[in-house]
Amino acid sequence: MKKKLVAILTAMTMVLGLSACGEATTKTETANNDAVEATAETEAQNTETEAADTDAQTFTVGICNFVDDASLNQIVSNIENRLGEIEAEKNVKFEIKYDNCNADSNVLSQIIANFQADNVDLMVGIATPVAMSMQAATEDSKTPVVFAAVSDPLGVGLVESMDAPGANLTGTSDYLDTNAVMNLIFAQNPDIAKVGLLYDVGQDASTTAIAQAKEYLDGKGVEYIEHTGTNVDEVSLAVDAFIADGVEAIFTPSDNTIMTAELSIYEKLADAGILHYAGADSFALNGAFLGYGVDYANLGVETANMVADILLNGADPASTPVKTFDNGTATVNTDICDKIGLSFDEVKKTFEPFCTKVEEIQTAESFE
Amino acid sequence: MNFSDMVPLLQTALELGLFSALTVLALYLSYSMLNVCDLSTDGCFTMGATVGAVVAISGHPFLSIPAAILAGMLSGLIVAFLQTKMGVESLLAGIIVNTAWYSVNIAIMGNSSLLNMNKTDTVFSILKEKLEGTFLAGSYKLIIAALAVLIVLIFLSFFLKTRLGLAIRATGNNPDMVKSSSINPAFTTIVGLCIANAFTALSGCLLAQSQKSVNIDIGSGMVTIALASLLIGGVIIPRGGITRKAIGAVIGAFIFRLVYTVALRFNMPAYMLKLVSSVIVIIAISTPYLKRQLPLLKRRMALRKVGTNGEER
Amino acid sequence: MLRISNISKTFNPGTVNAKLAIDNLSLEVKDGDFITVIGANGAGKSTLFNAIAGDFITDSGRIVLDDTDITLMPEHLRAIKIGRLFQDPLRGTAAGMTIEENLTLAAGRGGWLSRISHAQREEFKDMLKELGMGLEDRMKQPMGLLSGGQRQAVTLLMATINPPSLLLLDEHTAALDPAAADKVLKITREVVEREKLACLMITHNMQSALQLGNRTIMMNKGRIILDVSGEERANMTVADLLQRFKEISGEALDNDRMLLGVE
Repeated sequence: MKKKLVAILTAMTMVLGLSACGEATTKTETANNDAVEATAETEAQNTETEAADTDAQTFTVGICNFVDDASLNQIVSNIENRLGEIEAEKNVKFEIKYDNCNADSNVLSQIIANFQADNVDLMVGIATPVAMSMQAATEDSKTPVVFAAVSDPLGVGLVESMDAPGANLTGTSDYLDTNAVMNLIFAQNPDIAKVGLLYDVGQDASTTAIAQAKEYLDGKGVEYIEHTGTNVDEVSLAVDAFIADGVEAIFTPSDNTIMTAELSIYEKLADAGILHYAGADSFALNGAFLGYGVDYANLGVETANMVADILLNGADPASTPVKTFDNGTATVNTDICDKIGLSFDEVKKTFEPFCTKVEEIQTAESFE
Repeated sequence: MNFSDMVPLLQTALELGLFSALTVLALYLSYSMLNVCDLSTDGCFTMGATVGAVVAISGHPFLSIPAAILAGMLSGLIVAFLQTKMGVESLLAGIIVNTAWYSVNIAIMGNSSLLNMNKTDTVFSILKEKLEGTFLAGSYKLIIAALAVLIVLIFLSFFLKTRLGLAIRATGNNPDMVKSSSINPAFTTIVGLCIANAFTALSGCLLAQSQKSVNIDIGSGMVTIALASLLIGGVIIPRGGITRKAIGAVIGAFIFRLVYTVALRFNMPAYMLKLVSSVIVIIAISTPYLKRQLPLLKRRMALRKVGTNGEER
Repeated sequence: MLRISNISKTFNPGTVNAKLAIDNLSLEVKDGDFITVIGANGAGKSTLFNAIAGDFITDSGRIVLDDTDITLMPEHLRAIKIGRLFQDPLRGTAAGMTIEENLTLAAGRGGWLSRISHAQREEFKDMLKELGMGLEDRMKQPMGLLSGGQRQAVTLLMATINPPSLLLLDEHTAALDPAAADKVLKITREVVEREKLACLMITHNMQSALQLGNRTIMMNKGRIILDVSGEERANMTVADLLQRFKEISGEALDNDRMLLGVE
């Protein structure tokens, strides 16, 4: 018994000692990486001016997705494509390590630890929980982190200010202009009496947006009913409740849970004649009446541009402003229009004054 | 994959293993001793994390730990109460409480699903500052984790030999005998579950603070991981007294994390990890059984080569 | 001393499976009585013991033990004054814990956070020595390693370590081999005599039922149909018992085990 205790204590002391060495190694390696990046900078510039064939500098980028959904996946594929383009333009190589934590925070911390063991030059975190874990993990190593699709980076403490993040994190935000969506609801149905609010309390993206929606509706004196769900089954039940309540339209912010459930609820809603307005075009892709918000493809491209800026041009995340997007595009699902008996052209005319663009889309499982 | 790469990973695995070892020890008490399958572990773990985070954020880093422990005790009390006084079956009681805690935890976090503790003072950040510049600087998480596990181990080792501890062990073994000894098994169940859930909440509190953020999913799957670790530990140290078995549980927790780490190093995609861990548990449990069967197997093979009267076939 | 007044119990009332297990039963047990209880299977013997010990609450009637009304008292509180042994040697002890630990729990000395003291350990050792089974050298071994007879002996010790007012023995030697059964019975008699306990013992052996103790009751269909003691009992034989049974209940006693006098 005593022997075992001694053995274990010795083992732990050994690991402690080794980890102290390990820490030192990581620091030297990060210093080396900085040196490499500096060399890469000069080399990249040389390549541009001389067009000589130098060995392409390789940068390792670790991308971690939060969960599989059409919007987030769209971001990832656009990041990868854009980085591919930049590779050709600037004659560099991006080695991308991709993983998906499927909403499991234990796995998430191990994925990030793995990235760090691989000495990635930069990490990309899709969605708020991933960004937050990366923030904590890179506190000492200061590895640059570019987050994507974080609705409220300031509110959750990822950055000190939107213009000057102040640390090693910056990124793109899919902040939703709730009032704009509410305007669309009322444009389509000025006499609407009951609005449903469908979201997941567990999604941080939804909290502010729903609060704003309630403010707007209170201002107009319109009744609203809330139902929430934390998984597909609960969302389905929530929708049944809405149908029984007799709401005429439902608003959902850019909520990942509802997004995952959309394919299973859109038919019920269409049958009941309830229009589903949501905060991302991926909802419309999966059967919602309207998706209004950020163009996630563009968001992916801009994220990749930020990554390149930091790695190739030595931009400092602390002073790179967080990029938000003008939510201007309304995407309307023509299949649903047909089902409910609305003419797309009329709908388009109604919405045009409120958006920069009105696009049409048909129900499918994912973007091409 | 060279060694210097592995060391920081091993350290992370050890840290994570030690934090979750607290939950494994909690299940050692509630599952192995009390024979109750407490499915409220996930919710209680998250509650420890949220309560600890809220208290730390409001400026009391040290108070966050007793606060989390108290929250865990309350959780255990409610589950035990449902089981013993309301006639709810133990599995169901755990599930009911677990479900309820989802809502309560979000409420505790101020109706949000996550809290960022990046700028908050916690026992970790405080220790880190104190150790700045010394050779132990990178090990502050390990130190706190190891300390917590050691304290819980010593407590369990002492407690399970007291009269109350014996009564709790007997309740899981033979509740009738407990009644014959004039002890109320409802009382022992309540005490046992309170203590076990206190450890679980402590586990959640420390893990969240070490990761500087808490989100509503932080506890999901914890009970499965802890049970698997407990089983692995039981295979590694099959015989022995209370203390030895408890240490085995801690080792099991570390091995579980190690498996994840190694799998990830082999570039296994993250979603395969759960399959890997299931396979490990199966191997861990069936190996001793199969080893015992080996002599019998050998004899069967030998018999096949020889006829019923002993002549060679 | 135990006074049972008009207790009744029906299981699964109002359903197809309703069974009147105890039917308006009354019994008085005086201090020092050693009563053997016999009856066919299903007569209600074990159920009577369960009623006294508190496994369930009776539908009606009163049970008074040593001037305390225990009719509604929970089982673990009754256990302070009532000791029980069962036919199944596994039921009385915790198999996964050592002899020492089982005895500590039964002894109930010290506060919740007390640990077993050296003095206590010595006390247990002496008690185990008296059993004469060599158990005093195996105190740190788990109960699960003991044979049936040894476990029953330890259970008996545990039940009487704090002398109860009443001992309920439910065929506690039935599952043991003859040698062990004899031994355990011998120890039972010694303990009962020494502590002057009141004792109720269920047995299927009609012969020993008449020989052990000072009083014999026979149960059938939830009622006590025969209660003999003193001279009447001393002069009774097994055949007499069977005859009396036939007279009272109007049916021959069909139970093979009882007739053959086999345990």
